[in-house]
Amino acid sequence: MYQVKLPIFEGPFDLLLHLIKKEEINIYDIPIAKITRQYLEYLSLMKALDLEIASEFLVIAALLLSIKSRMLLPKPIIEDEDEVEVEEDPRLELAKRLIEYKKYKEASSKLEQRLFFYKDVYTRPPELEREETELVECDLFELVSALQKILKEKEGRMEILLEDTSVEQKMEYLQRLLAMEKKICFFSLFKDTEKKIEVIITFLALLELIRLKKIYVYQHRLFSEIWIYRV
Amino acid sequence: MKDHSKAKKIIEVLLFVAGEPLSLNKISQILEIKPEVAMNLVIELKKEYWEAQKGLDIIEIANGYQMCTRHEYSPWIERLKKQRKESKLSPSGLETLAIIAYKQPITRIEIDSIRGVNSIGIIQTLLEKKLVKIIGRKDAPGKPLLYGTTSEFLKTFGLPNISALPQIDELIQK
Repeated sequence: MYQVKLPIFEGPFDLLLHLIKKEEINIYDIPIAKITRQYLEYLSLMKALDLEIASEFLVIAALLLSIKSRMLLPKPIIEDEDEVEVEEDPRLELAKRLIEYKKYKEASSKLEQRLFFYKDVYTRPPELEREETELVECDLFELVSALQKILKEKEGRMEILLEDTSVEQKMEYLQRLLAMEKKICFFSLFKDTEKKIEVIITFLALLELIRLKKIYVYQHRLFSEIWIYRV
Repeated sequence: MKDHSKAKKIIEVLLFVAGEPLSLNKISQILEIKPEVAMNLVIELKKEYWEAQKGLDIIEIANGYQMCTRHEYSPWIERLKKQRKESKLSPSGLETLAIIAYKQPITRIEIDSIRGVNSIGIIQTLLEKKLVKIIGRKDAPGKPLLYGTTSEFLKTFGLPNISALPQIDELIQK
């Protein structure tokens, strides 16, 4: 039995850099015909192995072929010496992108080293509850994931029914609720709601109140309970 | 606060109890001293920990200081907790994170163009892990979202602040 070990590339640039490194060539002076051939060979190998080839690989294959053909074209003969306009090497653009990519590839391996080191560093969990002045403002992403959580919890139990409560009515209700209490827990708003549409209306009302700056939504720390405050 | 060594001990207990990075501002407010004085005290304390070869360390992280264990003692902590702290990030996740860290604020299209591949799924994962966040919209056609790193990112990678990342142009020389 043969075992074929095929390196997995993050993308076309990753593959190109691998080929360049293997051939020990200068990034600014890529033998385009040779590299294009190797690149295409790799793609057909992927195809032969029934691996899905991401369309991005094909985009760069097309780019390589176009550079190759541009390099084959004869250069125009320049008559007037003064008007010499140095024609840009068709490979330059690709070289620049490869170098840019290589920089971040390098940076990501530095990050990985840090990650590896700091995962062995432990801290203790906070002893005290954070003061309210140190609350972090809750972003939309956090709110939407909270909504997803609620919908998931209620899944199966919920019926979809036409509800006569409007977003405006819900907003009024929330504001009245907040007039009585300083803060409300996000999840408590949905505790007794069994209708999907009502969950969504309540959520929309919250978003609208945030937009109008009538309420603030805060968390003690990431992933913790979300609190709604009136302004 | 005149008593120098007492102030240092107060900082020590604050760092112990906090469980999260404490900024110099916060420390100086509590002790009613200047931030520069607080910084010197923290540095002295850190030095003492180092010289005494303690199991604990004080590190500068996420715009503050935090007490933590020295990494070489992690095997024993794992025995206590009976599990290893997982830090799963795929190579493409790290690559995308590196681009966001250095080029922030940056749009998805700009990330895609550097990587040569679509990064939408990876950005989603990074958002879920709270390593990156949406920090606004670019004033360009379609008003694309702009991404940046979070303080969770700084904590995960042990960085005092974002400018503590190694200089990107130096990386390529080596």
